[in-house]
Order: sequence, then structure tokens, then C-alpha cells
Amino acid sequence: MKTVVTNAGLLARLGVTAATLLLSQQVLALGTDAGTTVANQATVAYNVNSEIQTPIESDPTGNSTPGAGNPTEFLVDRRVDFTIVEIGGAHTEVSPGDTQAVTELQLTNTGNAIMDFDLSLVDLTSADPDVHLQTDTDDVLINYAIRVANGDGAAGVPDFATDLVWVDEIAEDATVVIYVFADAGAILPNDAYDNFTLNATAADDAGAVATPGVLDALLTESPGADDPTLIESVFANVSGADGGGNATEGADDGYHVNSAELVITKTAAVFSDPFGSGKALPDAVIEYTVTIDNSAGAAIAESVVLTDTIQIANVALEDEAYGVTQDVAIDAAFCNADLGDADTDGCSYDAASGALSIAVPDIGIGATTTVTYQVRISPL
Amino acid sequence: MSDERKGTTMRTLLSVILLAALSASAYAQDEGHLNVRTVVQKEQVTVNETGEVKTELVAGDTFVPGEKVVYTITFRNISEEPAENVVITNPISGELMYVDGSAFGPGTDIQFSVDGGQTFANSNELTVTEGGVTRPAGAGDFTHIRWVMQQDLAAGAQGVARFSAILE
Repeated sequence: MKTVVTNAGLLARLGVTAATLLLSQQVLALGTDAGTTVANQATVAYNVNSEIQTPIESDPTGNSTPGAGNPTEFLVDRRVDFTIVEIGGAHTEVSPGDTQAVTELQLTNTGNAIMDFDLSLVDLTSADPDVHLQTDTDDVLINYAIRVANGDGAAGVPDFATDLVWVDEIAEDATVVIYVFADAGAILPNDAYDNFTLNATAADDAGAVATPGVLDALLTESPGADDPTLIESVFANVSGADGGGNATEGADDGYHVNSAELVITKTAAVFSDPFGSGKALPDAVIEYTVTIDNSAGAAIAESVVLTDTIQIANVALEDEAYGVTQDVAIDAAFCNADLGDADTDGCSYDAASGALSIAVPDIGIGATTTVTYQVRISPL
Repeated sequence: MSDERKGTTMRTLLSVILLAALSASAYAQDEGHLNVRTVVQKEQVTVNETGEVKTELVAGDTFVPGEKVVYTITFRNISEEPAENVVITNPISGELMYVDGSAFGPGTDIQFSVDGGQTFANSNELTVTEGGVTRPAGAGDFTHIRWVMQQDLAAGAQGVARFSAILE
């Protein structure tokens, strides 16, 4: 009876081994799957007195019965190994007011088990190491959000509404794209850099089959001595932002702000005087020239408003300096600063306070707008 | 036939059946001349206070891909007679890649197979033909290892065979 049980056990084991071999051939390049049982058995053939004897199979504890021993087995543990890299090697360009500006990173599971990964984003500061050779300028982009491509949309198009915020069930050797979305504030300086680190932490039920659609428990390296009956976790990652030794790896990336960068210059010159002397005498007219230069900018300057406070104790804005309703010249155009003109042209002047406000049309990248207006020095 | 004689005949028949059963059982449990044991171990490298590096073999019940697996086969002649033509054959599991040069066995000629154990030869004599191109066999091609003892294994003597492989 005992013999029969042993044979059945052996057959069952052989069955498992055959199935395992088949599986391992299919995934050979990826590393042997965690949970696989690897069996080994030696067979010794010999003669005694020139008579061929029944070969003896090995056994983990020693076997001297001709024929069946038991294979010497071990269990394949989980090797937690993965990489996370950013794609493109450069900052993602954004302009003020952009929403859901996308940058991409890639996570590859190079371990030997199906894994979940939790994701988190750390906004870096100027105190952190540079990213792509650029120091964070501490200008904060808002509403960072992480999404993981789940393949349900068009290729390469992130679905902000439905994509998961963590990596679910990524197979051995498989790669998944992680999208980081950022909203850029309406007011941001040109050439600002906002760097971040995206961290991924391996997660899975210890030794159990992972649960689709659920972020499994975060992994910790199995402590202490080897447990031959359990699939334990060994972290292979020794490089990366975290220095190894835990289940987290990170990759750095960031955003670069393209904004307008305006340089304003104001000059004054005598336009006319009662004596034609060219001097700033009482009753002389002075022309102010304001240049607004976007040469250093990387975006069109929009909604530009030039304000100036005319020192009404000594001077007053010269009405209709360039013609009827033409109080202010903006390049080749004019605007009317009169109170009560409904200000549809964006220009206004309050004689009581001296507040002059001039709406300037968009200034293109590299362009300069020149605004001129005149004041008259109070007569004696 | 008296009842007593009938009883004796029954007893005799029973004895014969019992004997037959006993001998069948004895045959099934008959010991061979050798005791064969395979253990699986891993290398553990330790550095002591003086910086001395020590490599020792420790129990290996679980491995991760990339780790080295060390198999040691011991075979002891537990009979009163010498064992002749002792040949130890060990298939290399599909998950394992033999570590070149790791097979070891005092007093044995070590041979390899690249055809699933049908033929064996010394490692430098084996070739593999792939896509019509024949090349020398490498460690990754070996499917079986065979240790052929050059001398008889004396009564009470023990031999050892060992090899290492990387878990893929």
C-alpha cells in the first residue's frame, strides 16, 4: 500500500515538473516564475559481480531502494526588480494657463512575478539635485496628477478620467506608460523649471496570486532565514533614487515654463516749448516713449496693460496729442484716454489722480511695442 | 476427509499465501547496493572582522532568478561487494543553466549530453547544429551531466559528484 502511495506521489510530482518545464520554456527570457518548483534527480547505474543492477534514483535524504527515490526540489522566490525611466530626456514645455500638460515615464517589470505598483509624486525644490541639468526654480505648477495608461483609449493618448492612478497587474518583462499631468498657473515667470520625482513601490500579496483591479499590499523584503514553504520577496534593485534595499524606485522629470519676458524702458524728450529752445520749460510738452520688449520671451505676451501715474502737481496728460481722439500712440495705432469715452479701446486717464492706463495688444515672441504719450508742464 | 485434516490443509494454504505475500514484500523493499542522496545548496559569502572572505554552502530551499544553485550527489556503497561501472546521470532542469566548469567528481570522467541524454561525450567534443551551422556546444546547451567512475566503488566507500547552475 505504501509503495502505491509513493508512486502516485511521484507521478503527481513528475506531472508538476513537466508542466513547470513547459511554462518555463515559454517565459525563459523573463526569468523563472516565482512559485515554480524546480526538481533535480540523479540516477546511479552500476554492476555487481558483472551483473547489471537496477539503477537507484537519488533522494534528498538518501535512497538505496532500486528505482524510485524523490527529486530534490526548491521553490523559486519572487525577485522584485523593475525600472522606471522618464521618456525623452528633457523637460516638458508648458505655458502659463496650460492644463493637463502631459509628460511620460515608463515602468518595466524585470522581476519574475506579476506585480502591482503604487505611484507617488514628490515635487522637488531648488535644494534638490538638478534634473536634466536644470535646477528647480521653486515656481509651483499646480494640480499634479498621475495616470497609468490602461490601453482602453487610443494609442498614446492618456485618459485622464478613467486611467488608474497606480499600476495594476503588470506581467513579467512588460512595460507600462505612466502619465503625469500638470496644470500651469496663469502667472508664471519665463524659463522657470519645476522638477519632480515619480516613485513606484512594488506591491503584491505575499506569495499569493495578485488581485486584479485592487492595489495589493505594498511589499517588504522577507526578513530572516529562508522559509522553504513560502514564496518570499527579494529586492534586486540596488540602484536608483532610493539607493536600493526597499521596494521603491524613482525617476526624475519636470516641466519648463515658456512665458513672456518683458523689458520696459521709458524715456522722456521735449516735444515742444514756447520758445523753441528744446528745454523743459513751463508750458513745454514732454513726450514719453515706453518700449515693451518681449525679445527674451518664449510666449506671446497677452493682456498687457501699461499704467503710469502722471504727476498732476506739475504736469497733465496732453489731450489729443496726435490728433482728434488720439491721446496715446501704440506703434502705428492710437487710443483715446478721455474719461467718458466708454474706454472701449482700453485707454483711460483720470485727470484728478493722474492715473493713466493703456491696454496694449498682444506682443509676439521677439517683438517690441512702443507706446508714446505727451504731458504738458504746468504753465506759470 | 476429517475436519481436522481439512483444517490443516487450510492452514497450509494460508501459509503459502502468506509466504508469497512476504516474499513479494521483501522483493519490493530489497535494498540496492548503493545509497544515493542529492542535496541542493547555495553559496553564502561572509566577511569576518579581519576582512577574510569565506564562501560556504548553506541549505537552499528557495532561490531567486540569477542565483547559483549547487547540487551535491553522494553515493555510498552500503553492500559487502564492490560496485563496478558506477555511472551517475543527472538531467539539468529547463530552468537552470549549467555553470561552465562547475562539474566535479573525484575519480570520475565527466561527460555531457546535448541531446536529452541519448549520447554523452566530453564537453569539448560536443557540437550543436542550429540552422545548418555547427558550433561547439556551450554550457547552455547541456541537457545532462554524467559522471563515469574510473574504478570500482569499494564496499563501504563513498563518492561525490557536484555541479552548479544558475536559476534563469
